[in-house]
Amino acid sequence: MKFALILAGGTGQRMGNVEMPKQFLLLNNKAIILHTLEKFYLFKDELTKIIVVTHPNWLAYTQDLIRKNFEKDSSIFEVIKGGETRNDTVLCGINYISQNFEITKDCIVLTHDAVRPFISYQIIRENIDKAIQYGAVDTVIDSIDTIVYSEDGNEITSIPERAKYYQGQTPQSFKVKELIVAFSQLAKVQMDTATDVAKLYGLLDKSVYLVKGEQLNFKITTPFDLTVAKALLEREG
Amino acid sequence: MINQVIQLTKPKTFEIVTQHVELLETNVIVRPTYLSICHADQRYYKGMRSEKVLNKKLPMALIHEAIGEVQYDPLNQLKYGERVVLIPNISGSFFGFPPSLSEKNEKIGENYCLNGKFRSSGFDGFMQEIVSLPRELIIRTPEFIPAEILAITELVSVCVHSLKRFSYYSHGVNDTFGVWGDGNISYILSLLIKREYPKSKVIVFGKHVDKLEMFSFVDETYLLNDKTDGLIIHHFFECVGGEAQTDVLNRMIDLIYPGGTISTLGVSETAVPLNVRLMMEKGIVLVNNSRSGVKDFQKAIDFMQEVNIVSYLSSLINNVIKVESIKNIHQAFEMDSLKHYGKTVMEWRV
Repeated sequence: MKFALILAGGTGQRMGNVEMPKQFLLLNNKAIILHTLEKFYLFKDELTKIIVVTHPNWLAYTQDLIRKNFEKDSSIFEVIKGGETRNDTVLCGINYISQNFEITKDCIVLTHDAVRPFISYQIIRENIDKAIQYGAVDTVIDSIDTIVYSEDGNEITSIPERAKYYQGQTPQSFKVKELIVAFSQLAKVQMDTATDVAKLYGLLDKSVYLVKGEQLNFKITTPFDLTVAKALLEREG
Repeated sequence: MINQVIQLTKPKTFEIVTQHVELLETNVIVRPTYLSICHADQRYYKGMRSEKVLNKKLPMALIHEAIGEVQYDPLNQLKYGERVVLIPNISGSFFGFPPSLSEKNEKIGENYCLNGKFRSSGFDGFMQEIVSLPRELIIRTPEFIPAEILAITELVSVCVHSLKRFSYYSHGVNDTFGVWGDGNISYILSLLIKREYPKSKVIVFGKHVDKLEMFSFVDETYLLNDKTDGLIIHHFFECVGGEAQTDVLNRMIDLIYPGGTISTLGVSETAVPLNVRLMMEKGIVLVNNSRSGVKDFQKAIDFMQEVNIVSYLSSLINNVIKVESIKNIHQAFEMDSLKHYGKTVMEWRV
């Protein structure tokens, strides 16, 4: 079985608009999250469930949005409540999967940010194929800017070799059983310090392989990002 | 959802643009998988069209010869992942125009619909992440034909179309066919004529000895300067186009037996002056052909299933290049332009 876990737990604080979380803002007259879900929907014959993990305050709204957009065919989706942090939210999704489905060692899950609506077919395809092959993969792009490392935030400690550094995107995809084990092996404090699941794997010395991402697969987090996203769609050919 | 389209913005420059795609009841969403490069694509890529044409048609996604896999069918008639040939010719009724005479009349065909659009000719071609197509413009494919060969189905369908129109307008005595040109179209058309008219003689006229060698299944081949005294050709097919088209067509007019049909498949950037007086004296029928329709595609697939046809077509595919980036697309187009004959197919991973 293959699952997609769409992380939509954000409340949009960085967007400067606390009334409407960023995943619900409109892009070309459609909520950002719906663009993302439609791309995953193309894989509906391969995916057992597309699970949307959302902030508890926005659960009903997310359900309505999906029901209206996908009309008669919304059964592939399940909307559930997320947690406080990103890892908590992933854990909510994993718990839902393990409680509702018979998990085997080959089951995989793709975790993806709802606010990356430009995700391509090819990225999803490679996540599925490579998660099956390797067990854990992270989508990354080359680091374009020079990476500067500073211990104190005031002066440069070192400048690492850029060619070996990548910028992390999503999806991050895993074998479900291994992910459950990983979560169970970490203390709460470790979970809270790790910003994403790939980092959790790092703490456990587990290998995570790379999938080539795309610059277009950027995260819409700030008003600037939203302006860029709108501009990209306005210049459509 | 948001779709990535790779457009040629000016010669040798590709850019990714994003377009919004709706999930429609009428359309199937297909992931392109194998894309074949055509001379017409190369002319845009290299900037060999006039500045006026380039300004009018670009930016535009190239490629009109492609297959793909069904990703989403709202009616569930096609299977997920099913391999299909994509038809690039979209007639006017798909854009809301009332059905034209071209669409309704079998002898004309929807490919001559004035309100229609053709991919990679003023309308985005198949160099896209996904393509939303009316279900009528998708053809199922047999499993045993390799993907890279299916990618050139459009080319085969153009030959099928020209032979169909030949049958409408010719006098019925078909002892000898002349096919002028030693390229891909000429090769496929000669193959098709041999299957459709097994008792007829097919003679191919070409410029290159090595390319003519490829035509192992025809009856005779002639180089341009070979003597043709006493040769009787009942019908000609012109598959040359370009600057040579004028000379080739006039030589055909000289050579052809009275009452014969000359079918054109080549294209030229300039107007072509013909010896109309001699055409009149000989009562020659000129049949001009462009592109193909849905039924031609279906017949092309049927033809490709006949014994040995896949084998013959395989010899045309000399490059299959895995394409994962814009850099790889440039490499594919550059490699294609270096080849002496045959087709370059891109395995699409963009």
